Amino acid sequence: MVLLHNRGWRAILKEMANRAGALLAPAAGTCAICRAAVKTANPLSLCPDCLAAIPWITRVYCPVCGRYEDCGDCDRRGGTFFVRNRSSVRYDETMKEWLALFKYRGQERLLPVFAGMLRHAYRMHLRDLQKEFGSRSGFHALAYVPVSEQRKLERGFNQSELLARRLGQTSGLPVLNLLRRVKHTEKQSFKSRKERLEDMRHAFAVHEEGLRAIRREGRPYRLLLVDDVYTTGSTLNECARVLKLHAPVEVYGLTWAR
Amino acid sequence: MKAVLYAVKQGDDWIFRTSIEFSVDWNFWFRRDSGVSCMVWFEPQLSFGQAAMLQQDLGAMACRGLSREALAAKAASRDSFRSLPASLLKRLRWYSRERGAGVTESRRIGQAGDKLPTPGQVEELLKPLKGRSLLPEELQSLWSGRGLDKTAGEWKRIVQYAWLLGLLQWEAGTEEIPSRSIFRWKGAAKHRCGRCHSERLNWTECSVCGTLCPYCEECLTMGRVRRCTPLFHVPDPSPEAAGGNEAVQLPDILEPWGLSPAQKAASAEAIRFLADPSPRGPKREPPGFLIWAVTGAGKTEMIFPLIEYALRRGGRICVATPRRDVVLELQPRIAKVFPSRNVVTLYGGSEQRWEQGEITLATTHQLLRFRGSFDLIIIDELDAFPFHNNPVLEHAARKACRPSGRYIFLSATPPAHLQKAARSGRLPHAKVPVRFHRHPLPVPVLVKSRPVSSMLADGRIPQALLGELRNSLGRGAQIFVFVPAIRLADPLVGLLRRRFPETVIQGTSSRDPERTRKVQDFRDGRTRILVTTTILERGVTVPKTDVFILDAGSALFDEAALVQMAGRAGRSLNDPGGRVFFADPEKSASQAGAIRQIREMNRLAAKHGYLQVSSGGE
Repeated sequence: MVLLHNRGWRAILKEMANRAGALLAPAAGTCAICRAAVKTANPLSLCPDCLAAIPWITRVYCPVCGRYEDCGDCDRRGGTFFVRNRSSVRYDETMKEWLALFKYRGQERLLPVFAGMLRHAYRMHLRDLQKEFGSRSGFHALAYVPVSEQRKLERGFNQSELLARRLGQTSGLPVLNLLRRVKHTEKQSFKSRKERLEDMRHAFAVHEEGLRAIRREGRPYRLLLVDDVYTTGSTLNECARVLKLHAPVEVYGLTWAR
Repeated sequence: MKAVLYAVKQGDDWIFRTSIEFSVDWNFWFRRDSGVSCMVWFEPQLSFGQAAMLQQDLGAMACRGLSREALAAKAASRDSFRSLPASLLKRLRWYSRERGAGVTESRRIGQAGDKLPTPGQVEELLKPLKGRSLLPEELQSLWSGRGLDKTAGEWKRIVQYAWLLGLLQWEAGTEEIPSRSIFRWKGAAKHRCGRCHSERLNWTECSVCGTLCPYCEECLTMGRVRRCTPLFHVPDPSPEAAGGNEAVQLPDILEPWGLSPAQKAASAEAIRFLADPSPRGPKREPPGFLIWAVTGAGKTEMIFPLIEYALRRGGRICVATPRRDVVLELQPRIAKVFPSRNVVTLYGGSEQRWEQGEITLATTHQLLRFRGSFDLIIIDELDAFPFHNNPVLEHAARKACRPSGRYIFLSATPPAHLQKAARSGRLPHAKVPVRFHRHPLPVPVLVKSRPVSSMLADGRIPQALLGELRNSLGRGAQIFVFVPAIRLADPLVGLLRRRFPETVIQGTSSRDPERTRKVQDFRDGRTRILVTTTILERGVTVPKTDVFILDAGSALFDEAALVQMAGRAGRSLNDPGGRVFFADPEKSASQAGAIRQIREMNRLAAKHGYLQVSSGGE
């Protein structure tokens, strides 16, 4: 097999030249999704094709859940425990593929891409907030939807936590560890709406330690809860319910896709 | 994955071990005849990577005659131990149990009813794992396919027991690269993937081990290999002395396949190489043999006798090809020729994923899941993507081969350094300079022409080129038009359609979602002209075709690509002539090289008398 590839001195010289070149030339980026060359700089560092494939949500029809079309779920549900949710992109086939790469295949290199995309929804939130409470208002902290210990050990990470921490770094908001999952629910993706709602009940508990920080503040505390995908809102709603039960918080949902 | 690090006292000495299912070890060491008097273990559990690393380091420590307290203290003073995250060290405690006594400072582990399978049962369970290298989820999937997923813990118990018995090996997913330099200082250790040997690792915060833990990005599509994931392997020693116990007669092996004289000569040469106990080539690795066969030579038929030979010697064979469709095409042919043999096809999403066969047909990536498994690996289209210059797949092939195994490489256009090795005699090889139908290869002709971009700009095709296209259509041939860039394909289709309004013309490229259908249309003769990029340079055989390579001087077409594209013409017995044109302002070096290569093969074929006295062809 030694013969399979050219490892003569010529190849070694070439390799050295390449490495030297790599040091001198500005890093020619490759697209984190498809590994094509990225020639023009953009905040997500994606190639033009992948960039164009992102179905950004630019118009919000449902003021509660941030849906891009008329919303049956929110009408049906009546009130929610969270104030509102905003999502960055529509959860179409392409986005499903991307999330699968990140979450299930474990390509953590995609984190900056997802976190960068999440900022779009974060900015929508800020805009709404500032319209409502004045130009200097904002959120007080970030939190994330937890996964069960078992899932975390299988996967090696919690994607929502990673997203929240990344956004925490860029926005300067503290990230609080507030919730834990007490019920190891089956994967949500296989369930109907009704099953999800039923299933979510009592799936979460709080971490007292994190809550203490909120209680200490003693003001209407605006908390931004991060999750990857908003489907029916049942996860977000249940988390908000549990949190409000234990501390004076206003919960806002920040999801990457819906 | 989590694991327990522990030590047992056997006689006067301590042995360190790792466990992914501690109750098994508990019962194993405290069984009546083990000679173990005491066990010391650490809690909470570590990640598999941490435990395996510590076991290796602590195992090298001299600990004869130590008391359990002294042992624990000595272990805790090691650098390897102190490299654990502080948060973990704070919680880490040791526990112990003397034989017959209760547990000191700890809960009881392992229930009385935990019965282990017998070693015989374990061996039976390990059979499908032989020669494999698998991740935990792959192993689970393999066993659950055989109805062995009663409880989540069950597979772990069996793996743990098999490891203690020495029937199964494991290692952490990534490893430190052993450095040969004496100048390396301590912090500079480099790491690589234990499965594919790539150094393209991504270090991320890991929930399992609580440290920065690398995972491999290179082979991620085959499942995630991380430092704290074990890779399981069950050795499969080659059937010793299986070779030679049946006297193999060459003619006996070569005759039944209806090979042409050129094919037969190459196969015979390859079999002599397989039979040679110490052929030429590098000593440290399984030796290889190159079959350099022109396009359309009938490679598949040539490997039949090689497979037959290896089978008779009791060997396991793998035919690895770069593409899935080739695997699927090969399967029925091999199954037909070897009806009594067990043939397994492996590719992404294959249903036979975990089966073991006498003959395995696989995409090259699948080799990553094997280790020391095959006596003969035939690598098809060695120079094609993704094998060419891909050290990962080279490593995969090396790992999958038994130390006593052999490689056969097949290629119509071997890379330059292999050609050189063959010429200089370092690489044993055989050339097949003629096609199965014994007609010479069509020699490409240069048609002076402007670049495609210029044709598109003014909407005109040069007269000479137009004339040859008309001639081809006139003689009833289908036409392959190759262009160097995807963006040229569609506009060129438009231009050709305007010039030949009566003719069905299609264009396709690797980005085209309808590619499969369009290629099928061309194969079925519904499309007369197909404009495409190099994606179709290999593998597609259409009976009566002429080939036009536009912008043939483009840097994107190297000599090998030109030879491969030219090789699409004249492949069938009914139309062995075929016409090939390079359209370009002038003859480039790679064009000249390609023409030289084709002429050389034709000359060689004539010299050996392989060519049929021409009746209708050239």
